[in-house]
Amino acid sequence: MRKIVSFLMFTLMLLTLVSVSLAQDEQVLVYGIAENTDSLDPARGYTPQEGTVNHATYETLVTWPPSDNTEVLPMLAESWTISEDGLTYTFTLRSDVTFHDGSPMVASDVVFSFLRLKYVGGNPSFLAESIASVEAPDDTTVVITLSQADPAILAKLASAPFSVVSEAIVTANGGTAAEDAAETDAAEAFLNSTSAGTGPYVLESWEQSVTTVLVRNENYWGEAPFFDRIIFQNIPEAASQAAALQVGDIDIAADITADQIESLTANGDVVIEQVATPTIMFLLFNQDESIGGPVSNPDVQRAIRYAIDYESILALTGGSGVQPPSVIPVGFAGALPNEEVIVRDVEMARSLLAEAGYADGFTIDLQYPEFTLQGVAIGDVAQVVQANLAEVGITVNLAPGELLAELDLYRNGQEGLGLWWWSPDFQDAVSNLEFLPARTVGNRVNWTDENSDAEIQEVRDQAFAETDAAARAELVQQAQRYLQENGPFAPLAQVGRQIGLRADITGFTFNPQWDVDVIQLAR
Amino acid sequence: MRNLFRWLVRNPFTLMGVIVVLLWTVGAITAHWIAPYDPLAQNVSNRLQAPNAEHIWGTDQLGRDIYSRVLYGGRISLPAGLIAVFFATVIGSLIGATAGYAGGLWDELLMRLTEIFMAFPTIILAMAISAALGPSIVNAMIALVVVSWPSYARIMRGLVISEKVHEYVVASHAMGASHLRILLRAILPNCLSSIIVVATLDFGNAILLFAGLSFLGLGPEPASPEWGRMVSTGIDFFDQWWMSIFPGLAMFTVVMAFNFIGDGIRDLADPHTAKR
Repeated sequence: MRKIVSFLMFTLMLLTLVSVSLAQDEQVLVYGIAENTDSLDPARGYTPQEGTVNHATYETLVTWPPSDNTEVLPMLAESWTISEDGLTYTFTLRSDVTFHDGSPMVASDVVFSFLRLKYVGGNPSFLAESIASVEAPDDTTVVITLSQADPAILAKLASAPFSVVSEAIVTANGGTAAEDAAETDAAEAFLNSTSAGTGPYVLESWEQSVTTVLVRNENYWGEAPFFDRIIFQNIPEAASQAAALQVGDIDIAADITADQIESLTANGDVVIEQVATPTIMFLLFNQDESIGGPVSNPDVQRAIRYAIDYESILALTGGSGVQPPSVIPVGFAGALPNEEVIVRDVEMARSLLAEAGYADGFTIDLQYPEFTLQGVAIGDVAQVVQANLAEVGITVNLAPGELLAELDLYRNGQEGLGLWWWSPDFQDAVSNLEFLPARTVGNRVNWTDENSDAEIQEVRDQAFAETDAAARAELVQQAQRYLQENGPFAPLAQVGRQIGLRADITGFTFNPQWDVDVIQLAR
Repeated sequence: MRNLFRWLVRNPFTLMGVIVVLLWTVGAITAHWIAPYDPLAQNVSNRLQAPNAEHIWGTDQLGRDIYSRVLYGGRISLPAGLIAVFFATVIGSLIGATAGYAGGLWDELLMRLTEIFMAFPTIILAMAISAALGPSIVNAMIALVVVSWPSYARIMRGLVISEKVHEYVVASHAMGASHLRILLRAILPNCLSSIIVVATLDFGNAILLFAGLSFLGLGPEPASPEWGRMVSTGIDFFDQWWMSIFPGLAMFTVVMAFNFIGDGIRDLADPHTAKR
């Protein structure tokens, strides 16, 4: 008995030694993040972390440059043409791409993936709404026909929901792209346990709210990435992420707050990357006088835009935020140049108020949700706005509310003066033209076709139809210049983020579409 | 006056309590002159500064001077606690006294009502009331009164019942004094000292409860320099310890001081406990 025990002990020791030496050979990246993944099925998941993970395991027809969203680049598609009427997009695919199992990727896989997204009824399925049909005339050609002009379609195709999955593998595991896929598709559990894409990594396991593990795809068709294994570790609190990063338990902490920078960088083991996100914080003014009162007056709206101390609000973001000139985030095609930002001018604000008949100011409630957005408390921003507007004679009473209750008021256009934020659904200016009359955000301030100028309606309709990138950027800029002068919004800041890295990690890039690009990282 | 002074010197804890409360009160009253900065003046580029020569207790997340805010904070917390305890005492005593004096069905009715109020945990009831009324100083004070009167009612009832069987009460009754007169002129003055002791000890609780409500966002509006709210803002800034510590210390010293004073007054009113 004793012999058996000692023999077992010995083998155990040997095994441990072997696994330790194996582990030393393996390059592992540990990524600390407050996990928000709802599904890793590309057609169903629609959260920022799902974008990060699926960017490593799947690929899309087109993609973005490493750090901005100004131009669409080829990826699985080598090239594409757009028909004159903007309704037909013809893509030529690369012929050297293989899936994780080594089988080649062909046009029918693309058709399957896109139709599955359209019919599966997942959170991102609305992105495929404008697609009327997808066809594969041969193995390297995909033809997408739209039901209406949708100039943002290329930006949408660059997003994770349009990841190309293997038709053979997914159908073998219960997947379907039939019109009744919402009821009949049963591949979600499979795609949550492994991936069926063409990316440089394969999903090894996902335990929701605990860990997501990726291993290198040995059959990758392109250049192999540096790390053998990437482990996403769920760490909800920023303070715990900072502590784990400090001692080297994790290599990246995705949710560092600005106030932690100083203590984290003190001893040189950690570097902080500050990036601006496309999420825009803004003040809204209800156009309906019975709700907005004085702030429905265009002169008052303009006065408030001049009364805000944008620099103070940026300081709250700890230096990682930027001030957008208008409603299109800096980094998007069609954003106004940075020198066109609105600069604080208290005298101007006072004279505009006097013109509007409010020389002595007025009193109004500022409604906002109790929420902390990327380490910035909305209530702190509200207090800065309160102090700024007090300087021009407007007395602001802060009226914070619980998030869901306030969200209800905001979505139904019931807030007079409100403080909110908007994140684009996909990385294209069109997603932020929702601020225009009779669009999603416009409707939330009761800005409709009835009470808005014909001028802005015309620009809006053209921008939603123009497929030429340069002409569209021009229209988008025109709309923003209008919004700087008129319009019921005051964009305050693009919220920033802090990402902490161990000092030996190289190759950091950040794109709002997929956050940190884990493929490019090395040690 | 001289006796009071001598008594205070012999009770150092009470003396300390009186001094601390006096300091905070004077600080709050004269804040306009002695605070170095406007408590609402923001200077965001100067945010989150550690205590230094210019800002002896540092600055908060909007660059406001914490020392000035804590001084001004006394203008909210101290009167709020005082007023709430005053009304709770008056209302509780009246209910308790009439119940104890009248007895019978009226007594049953009022005491069951009191028990209903006492059945709820204090903080939960206070939260529910101020959440229902909406966040403001006055509503938070109303919530404090609603949760604190029942204990006064209970104590007062007990005192009145033990007092009303004394001969002098029977005598006044025989001489034709009205019930109201007997209650107000004969019984109540004899019960007052005990109630005052309880009320003084309760100040601290009231201030804490008020701070607790504003900590939860149910007190004064966000920008106002209220101690509880300052502590609650500070906990989001873990590295910036000074944001929570100083308003927390203010609260701690005031509550402690009121407890010392309460103990002192109790000893004064009932010398037996002092000689233990």
